[in-house]
Amino acid sequence: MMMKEHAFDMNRLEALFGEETNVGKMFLHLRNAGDMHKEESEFVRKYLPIVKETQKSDEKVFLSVLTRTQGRRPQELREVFLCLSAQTDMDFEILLVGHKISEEQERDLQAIIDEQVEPIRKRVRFIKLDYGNRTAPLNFGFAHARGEYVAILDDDDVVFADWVEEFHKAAQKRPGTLLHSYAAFQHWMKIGKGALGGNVRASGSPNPIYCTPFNWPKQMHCNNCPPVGLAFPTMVFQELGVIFDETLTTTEDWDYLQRVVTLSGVSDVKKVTCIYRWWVNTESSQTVHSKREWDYNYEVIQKKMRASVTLFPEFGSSQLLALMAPPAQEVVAAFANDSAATENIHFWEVKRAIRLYIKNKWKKIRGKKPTEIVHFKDVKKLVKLYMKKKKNRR
Amino acid sequence: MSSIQIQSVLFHNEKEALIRSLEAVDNAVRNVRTSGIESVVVKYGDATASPLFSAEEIEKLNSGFKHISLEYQFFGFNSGSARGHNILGEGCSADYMQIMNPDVILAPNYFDEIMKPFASPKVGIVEARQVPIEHPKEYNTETGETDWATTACAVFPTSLFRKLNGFDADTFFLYCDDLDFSWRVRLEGYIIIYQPGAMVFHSKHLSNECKWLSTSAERYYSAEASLLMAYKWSNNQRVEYLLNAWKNSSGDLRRAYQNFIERKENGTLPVQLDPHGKVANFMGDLYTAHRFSL
Repeated sequence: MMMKEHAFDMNRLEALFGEETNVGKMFLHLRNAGDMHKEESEFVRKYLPIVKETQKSDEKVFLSVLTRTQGRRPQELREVFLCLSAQTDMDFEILLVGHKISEEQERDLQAIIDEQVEPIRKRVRFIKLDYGNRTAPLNFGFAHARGEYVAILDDDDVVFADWVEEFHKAAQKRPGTLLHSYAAFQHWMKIGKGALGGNVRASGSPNPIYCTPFNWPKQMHCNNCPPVGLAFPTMVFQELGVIFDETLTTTEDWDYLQRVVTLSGVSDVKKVTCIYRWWVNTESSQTVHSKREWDYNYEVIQKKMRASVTLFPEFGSSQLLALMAPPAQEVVAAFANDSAATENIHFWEVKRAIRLYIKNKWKKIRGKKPTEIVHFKDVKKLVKLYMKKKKNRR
Repeated sequence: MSSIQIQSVLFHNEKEALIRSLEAVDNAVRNVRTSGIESVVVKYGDATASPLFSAEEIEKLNSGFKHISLEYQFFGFNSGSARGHNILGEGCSADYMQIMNPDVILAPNYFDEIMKPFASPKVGIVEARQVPIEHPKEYNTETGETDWATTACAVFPTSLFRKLNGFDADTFFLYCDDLDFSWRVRLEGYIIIYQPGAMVFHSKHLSNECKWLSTSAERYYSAEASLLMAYKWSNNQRVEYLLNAWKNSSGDLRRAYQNFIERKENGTLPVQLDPHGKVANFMGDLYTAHRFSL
């Protein structure tokens, strides 16, 4: 009874707050986030009928693993299946989308599926798509997904045995949020000639550049999250109609990620669960598309981000503040040399200096270079000043 | 048509992971097209303190497989890998032997790929490619020839195993038994082939800095084995270097130093081989060139 009396009347609120207010903009943002209600939208025309059909199925799983293939990388596809057959959590289905494949390629792909172990064979749904650029199979796959989440595992990346398990654990802790795990970046190459021609080999050390927590401000500038390390909540696509932008020929994953994150928030899985392969001598999206195309798409995505209000994930604000905060050394110097400034010292400044000092020590132990130098004597000075301030107040 | 005996030494393994591995072997035999592999026996040697499987469980497992047969032997002691494989290899009647980590999962087309290089009689060992983290060891990208083979998953003719009296179990407990075996194979004039098309999943993890996560036991046995490798393969300079470096250290390295000194005093060090360095290749802590570090 109490709840009912205090329940929000969304229509009333929307009418009360004008379009220029933040609340009004947020209503507009939510309304425009997806294409669910626009009759002529791409989602309604192309994908809603598939979604409706998909949702009739009783076969629900935690994860839909979406693999796009053009049928040109049989060994790499076998590798993907091999990784999936080793998963410690088998609560998934595999959506293999054959994109613009010939009949011969279809036969070859079917043969690869048929040779798999039974637990994999029964999880594969092989669907074909004959239109669109590389983005279309993503929308097509998301529309077919029976999982609570969808993860994009293209036919050239590899995942560890706990890839699904770690996503699953994170989803249980914070259901509905976008899941972000760490992906090791590694150079790979295709062997060109000799008896081993056509095979692939690693050519560089696994690199941790993508092994950091989701950073909202950085993420607005450029994408630091390879798709293989992400799992998207399916409901954002199927219930809100938020789809991949098929006009984008590159970085479609970044654009989609940004739009989903503002709605779902993020959960970090702070573990390396996969390898994002960077092909050094073979065709990839890096080589197929021109720099001009990449630049154009970048600009389009930036424009989209600038044009709408944004709901930050909860840690986004602190990440933004950290970017704007002066270097710890400057803070220390400002207070340490001006005793009159004692009154202005804040607890968070002291805390930050202590945290940085400990972090640097830890980095030093592991043989890494500290990001900011903070000396013990300065931290001590700050603590003393803060204690003095507290004492004066009493 | 040929036969193969796959052998794994068990030590506190999870049954679920073992069953998954066995199912993959069964499936890989189902998919044999060109390799001529007809008969596959999987032999488990259990080095755990108490048996992982009962006779009934093994019988039940066997009834579920269409293409392989499973044999299980409980050792009753911690054999280590080298001794365990020697025990399992005694009386092997198959044409080929495959040494495999127990949790390894074979790709469906594995047998056709791994057996290809044996078309040449010069080939002594063929090593599979590990997924998802490939071994950084260098190999010839046209021929696949490499200096040594890891036995996470590798195949060799049983006749060669017999000729070499198997692994050197008196010297190596957990590490470098495969390296030592590989070099002895090469001393006999055979070559070793790395076959990237033969894929196997070998579960590994990386730290958040993308480095190997090693346990204390791994560090100790690795240190112990590196000293013994240097000695056995006549690199006395490296032996001296390591002994000097570890003499005053602590922990795993000090234990490895003490173990070596005790062996020396007891006269249980191995017979030295390859005095002219025909095969042995020491490159700092490595035994061949690596393409990248881990």
